[in-house]
Amino acid sequence: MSPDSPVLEARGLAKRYRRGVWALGGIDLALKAGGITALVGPNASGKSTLMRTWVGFERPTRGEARVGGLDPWRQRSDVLGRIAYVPQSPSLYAGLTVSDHLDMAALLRPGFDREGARHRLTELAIPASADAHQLSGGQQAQVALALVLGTRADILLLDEPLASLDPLARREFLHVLTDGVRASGATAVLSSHIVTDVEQACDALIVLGVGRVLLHDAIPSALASHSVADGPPDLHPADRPVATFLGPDGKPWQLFRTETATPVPTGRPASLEEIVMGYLASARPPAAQPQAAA
Amino acid sequence: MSVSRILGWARLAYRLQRWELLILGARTLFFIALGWLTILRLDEARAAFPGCFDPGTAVCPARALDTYNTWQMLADRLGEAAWLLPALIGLVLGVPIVAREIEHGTGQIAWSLSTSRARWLLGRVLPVALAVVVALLLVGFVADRVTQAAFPRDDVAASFMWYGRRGLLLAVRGVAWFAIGLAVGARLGRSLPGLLVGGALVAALLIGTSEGISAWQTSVASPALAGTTPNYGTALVVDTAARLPDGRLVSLRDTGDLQLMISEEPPQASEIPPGYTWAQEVPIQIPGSDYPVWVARESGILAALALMAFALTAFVVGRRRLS
Repeated sequence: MSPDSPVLEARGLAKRYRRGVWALGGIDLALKAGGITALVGPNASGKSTLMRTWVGFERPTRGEARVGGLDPWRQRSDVLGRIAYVPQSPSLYAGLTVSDHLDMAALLRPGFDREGARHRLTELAIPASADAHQLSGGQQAQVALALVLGTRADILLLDEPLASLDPLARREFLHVLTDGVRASGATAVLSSHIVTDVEQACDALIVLGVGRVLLHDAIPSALASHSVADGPPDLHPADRPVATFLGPDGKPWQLFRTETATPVPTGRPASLEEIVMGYLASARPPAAQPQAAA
Repeated sequence: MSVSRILGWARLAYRLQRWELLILGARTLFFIALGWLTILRLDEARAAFPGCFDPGTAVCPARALDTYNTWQMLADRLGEAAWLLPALIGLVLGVPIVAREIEHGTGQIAWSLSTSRARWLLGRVLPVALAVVVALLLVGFVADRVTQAAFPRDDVAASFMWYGRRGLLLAVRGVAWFAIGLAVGARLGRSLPGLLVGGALVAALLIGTSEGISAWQTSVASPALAGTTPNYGTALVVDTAARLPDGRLVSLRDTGDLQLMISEEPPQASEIPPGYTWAQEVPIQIPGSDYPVWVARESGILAALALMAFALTAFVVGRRRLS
């Protein structure tokens, strides 16, 4: 594999569950090595399914997933040697202490950095002797993150680890994550629906809606190329409307994407949250979208 | 797997299943303590009244007989408990190992940390399986000694007395039921339904193997040799027949019209009614000396069953999706 080869890929990846619900509707994605990519989308948009498919916990119904060029379902051992995963609810073992979790990780994963993980948790004042279920949600998430970083894996997949955390715990989590990823040069994918957190910590953004990739871009590039208008727009020819969504004032706002290298002043520069909302609105059927201002 | 890794997994296994292990460990110790007490009391009773409990001896003091019968009865109850323990220990320890990982979602962390689910399964199962084997070997050994104390004139190593309630067979059954519980738990991914389904499956297999082995034993059993006194205590008697004076064997069901007087020992001539002839009652049996062979046979069948269940668990765990 060349250094520019994608480390995480999805080619026409579709997943249908037994109930007949399509979680992923045939997505194409390629993530290069390094940095933190945010995977953003509403509930049931397929974020967790995509991550679990890359970990080898789900088998694609159609298409294929690749991790470092390997099929995670068929070559699971090789893939798991390169990957580490924090599930949506970091279910730690009741009855095991924090230290026991590190011991288990060391037994399961050759080369697990037990001392590094312990040091990371000590810095966060999480006692090694504490029962995992006596910890707060934020501390449990930190233990799960310490386990993941201790693997020294190339690729980290974090499935909504921030969902149940308070703002301070979220900030601490993201701080440890970004430090760990920058220091190791790993590639991380962080799924979340809290866009403000994503903007602080991530380098790139994927917006997933109804099982499709709606946007995949570097965050600075996304910010530079989108604008929003909350009134009748004076649409520049280089701008393309993305969608109309409901603004905080209850009126329809429009998101635009410029096709030129420099920002074009249709409306004003869009925030990341507005970009995400616009793309999510674009995935809705037209009847469900607010009517654009005349 | 190195010793230090096994010890590491053993410590984690204890912490993950401490209540099951403590309760079953306590039951095992209770069984062993009660077993030794029974052995001591039976030996003491016999030492206090030598020859008193042998057949054909003088009348024993009522108090001695009461005491002896009480401990004999307890020995019998212990045998019944020993018969139940493999299923209890095997299922209670086996079912939750994988089921609880799925139920509580912890498998998502463990199975993503480990590069091989088979290695995880081995680490998780091996120490618990060893605990099952050690506990039931101890129970089996004590149950053997209790049986010997209850039947002191027989060599229980060459006797079918209390078959399946003592000795090595308990440990082998324990491992088999443990493996089946493990497989059911892995397939269902739920502990309580796993225990119920596992219990039903083990009951069916217990009946199935017992019936199958009984049929096998019946097919190979042979009549006791002419001129020998059958030992009903040590042999496994599957049927009884009558040996006619001309040496032919007739099933007891077919003797109705033959006007036979059937007994184990030849009666006095005056005791035989006119027109009747004496026929010796002959057990169709497997001699007690074959006991180790049948233990080995049943152990082999159960070991094969256990291996299949372990392989099925590895397959299910390897293929299992996690949501």
